[in-house]
Amino acid sequence: MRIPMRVGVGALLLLIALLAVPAGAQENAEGVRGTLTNQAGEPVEGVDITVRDAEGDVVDTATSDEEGAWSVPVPGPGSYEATLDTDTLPGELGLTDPERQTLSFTIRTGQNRTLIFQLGERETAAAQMFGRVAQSGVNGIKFGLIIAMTAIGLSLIFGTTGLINFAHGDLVTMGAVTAFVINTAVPGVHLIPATFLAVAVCAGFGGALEAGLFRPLRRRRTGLIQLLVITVGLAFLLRHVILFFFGGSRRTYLNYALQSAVEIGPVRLTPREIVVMALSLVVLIGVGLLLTKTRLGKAMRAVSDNRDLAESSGINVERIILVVWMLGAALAALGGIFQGVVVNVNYLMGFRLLLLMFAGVILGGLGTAYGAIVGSLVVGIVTELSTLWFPAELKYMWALLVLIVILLIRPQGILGRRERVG
Amino acid sequence: MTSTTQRSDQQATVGAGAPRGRRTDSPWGLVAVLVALLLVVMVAAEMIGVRSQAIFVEALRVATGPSAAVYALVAIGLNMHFGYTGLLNFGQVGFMLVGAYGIAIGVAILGWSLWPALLLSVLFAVALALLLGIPTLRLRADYLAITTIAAAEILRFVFRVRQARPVTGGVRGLFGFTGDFYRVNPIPTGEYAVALTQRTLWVLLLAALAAAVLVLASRMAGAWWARAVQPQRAWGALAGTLVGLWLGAGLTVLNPIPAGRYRLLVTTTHARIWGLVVAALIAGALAALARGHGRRGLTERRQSLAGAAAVGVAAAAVLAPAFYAVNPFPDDYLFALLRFSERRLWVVLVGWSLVALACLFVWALMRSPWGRVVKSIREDEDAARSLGKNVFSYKMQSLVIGGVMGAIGGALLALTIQTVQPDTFLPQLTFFAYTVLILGGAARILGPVVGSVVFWFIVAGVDGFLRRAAAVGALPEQYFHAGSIGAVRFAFVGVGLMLLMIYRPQGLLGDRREMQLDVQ
Repeated sequence: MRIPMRVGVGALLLLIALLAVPAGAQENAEGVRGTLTNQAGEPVEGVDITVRDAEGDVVDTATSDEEGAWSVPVPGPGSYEATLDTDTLPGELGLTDPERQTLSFTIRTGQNRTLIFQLGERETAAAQMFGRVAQSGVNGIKFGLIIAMTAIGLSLIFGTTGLINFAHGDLVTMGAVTAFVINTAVPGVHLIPATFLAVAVCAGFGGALEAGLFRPLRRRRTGLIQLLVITVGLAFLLRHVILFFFGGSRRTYLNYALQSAVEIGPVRLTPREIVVMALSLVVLIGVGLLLTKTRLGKAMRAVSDNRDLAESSGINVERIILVVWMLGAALAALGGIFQGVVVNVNYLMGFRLLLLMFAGVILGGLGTAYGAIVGSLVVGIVTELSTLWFPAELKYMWALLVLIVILLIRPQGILGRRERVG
Repeated sequence: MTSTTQRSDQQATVGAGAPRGRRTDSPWGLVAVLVALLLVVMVAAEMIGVRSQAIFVEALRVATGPSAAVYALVAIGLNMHFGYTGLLNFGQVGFMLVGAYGIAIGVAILGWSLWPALLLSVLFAVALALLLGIPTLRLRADYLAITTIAAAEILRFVFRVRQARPVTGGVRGLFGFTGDFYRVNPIPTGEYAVALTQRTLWVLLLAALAAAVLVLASRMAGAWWARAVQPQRAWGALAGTLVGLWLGAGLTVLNPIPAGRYRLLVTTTHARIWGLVVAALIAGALAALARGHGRRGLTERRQSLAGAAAVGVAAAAVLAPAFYAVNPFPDDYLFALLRFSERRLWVVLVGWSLVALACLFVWALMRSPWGRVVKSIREDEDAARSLGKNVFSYKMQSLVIGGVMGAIGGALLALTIQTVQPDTFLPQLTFFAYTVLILGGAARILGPVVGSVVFWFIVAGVDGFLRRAAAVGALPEQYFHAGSIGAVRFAFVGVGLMLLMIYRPQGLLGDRREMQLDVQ
């Protein structure tokens, strides 16, 4: 009678297992191994991997065979490192991450460990550097555009009222959080209409602040330092009310959260980042046109320049200041929403941006909108480029150093008029 | 321009011979607001079933504790910067940071003992002040604010980074450097308490009543009964009476009379006899002062005060037993206000001694010619410059002195919480210090101290109330949990700062004329 299929397969497997056992017994000792393939999945042969022990003495060198496999037995459990000899790589191949040429690892008793060396197209060092600079540069422009949008309001408010608004960062956070609330409320609203609503709400809030708080204080002839400290208190209040209701964790919007990056030359960007950058540019150009081509913009510039003269030429200064506050708050809110889309939403996001805003605005020239844009772009680029050579934790520090240096050598900023700041 | 003319008006008033130290507007409105807040919190607590006494005691504990001393020190430094010199230093937390790290690095990394490490803190502070001041002191106030806040944040980033770990401990910071400090604690192990006995309560109550009457009499100086009370002398009499009551009850310190009861005119204890002897001596000395003997040049007002005090001491010492006999509070009445372990008592004593020293130092400094120049720089820099004063040098000296005080505050903080981490020293600490300073009154010696105590009392009280209210379920659970109550505290401080600056920028003790708040 025919042997049942199951028994046959079982016997075959048993045979294989028996045959494999001797080889397996050998591989049960401590060791390290791996398989080298290129990006198409084809094995790479003839590459040397050297394993050294904790003292740096060479244990053994293995060469990858025609299946790309290599293995090095080690004398016992402990710490080791494996180095891939890049000279033995075929011409067009290189490590995708040159930093990971040597891998450190630990072997436990009886462990046979697998290491992975990623191979890909070999780039010249220059090409690689260019790629990283380009990526950082683009990240910097993206960051800078968002800072620019939020900073215009700060600069215009200073220009028209002389007040440095320490609460501006929290207006940014407020915009992002308002959009989040509208976006995640039941029934949820898509992010785009939520954005419009949030910007409108924040513009209203900015106007209310000006009409209800700062205008009466200005009328009372409150000193500027007093007003400054009041904005500090306001910032505290806003930030912690937001913390109270929103919580301390980072959240993202419901839409556009998960996207895969697109490669444009050496740069990788997600579609939302591209859209945010484009929109920021459009908004900034729009604000620029507003300031230069419209009557309102001309009036705003006039009030920034010389308030009394503007008033005497018939401009309603109080109304202009109200418009400036509303516009500034709207732009801040939009910037906050963009930052929330690109990164995430948390209660400190605005305050973190505030110092960068100061840096950008002072660098570009306090009081001018163009200065705010130029300065913010520079700050964004400096911040991101610094990560190429310095630890990422220090990236905001460079912007602040730029701020201090600029105040020393050219306090009126790049585009500012030469006036006494001391 | 408007601002310049305003300032010269102010200067005219200052120069016109207005009596120094007399307040032109009273702080009682603000005091009333604060007391009302306290009452509201305590009543609300009772209404929801939370013991208001516990909240009060906890608030008092924080207000007299090391945190209050730390913030008093930092605010004294800030007072030197902002109150007296007009420098808007928003980076005071940077000085706290280097002060705290100075002592930590000195002990933990370099292995020094406490005093050299403290010296290191001071050196760091001086270095930071020089580094900060040389480029920025010529900037306008709002630019200086931004620069200093940026500098403090830069410091924090640098201390925080992984590469700095061998020196600063990176993000995790340093710890284990306070052993020496607690080892030199001379206070024996045990529990200590500041308690209100029934006697003290009785005395305090009547003293408060008398003080209230005297204050009223001072304000209504024209009324017939006010003149009869003679508030000028009555304060001296009140002080003397309090001393006399205390002495008359019996003094055990340095008593040479052997223990026992004696029969003179009545049967009394040795302690009471000694108390009467001391009271007689003090009354006699005061009477001599009143007569014009002793220190030459005692003003007439002080002579009359001394005389009234002499009468008070003598009368109260003799009448003390009768006074205490009519005490309505029961014998076993004990209200423990504050409790300390010997460690906490040591820290509290050291902290407030440092505060007292700092106040003394600032008082002496501001009375000197140096202080006058600094105040003139605050009022009108150009005028000071035109008189030949090196404005930059004076500002730098002020920055250094205020910075060193901030650093000592930071060192005290490090000794209190026994660890230093860069993320403790966030910009909001500077703004807390500003709230303390403005609440107490800028450009006043005791302003920062009063401000710190009142500030922490309120903050701890509100905090305690909210926590307990949340614990008994009086507040919605989803909003009021441990993390968010901290947010309420900060939001509260923000509102407080705003209201203070809008309605009473001179705080409790300040003088409106001394507020230099215009920047143009």
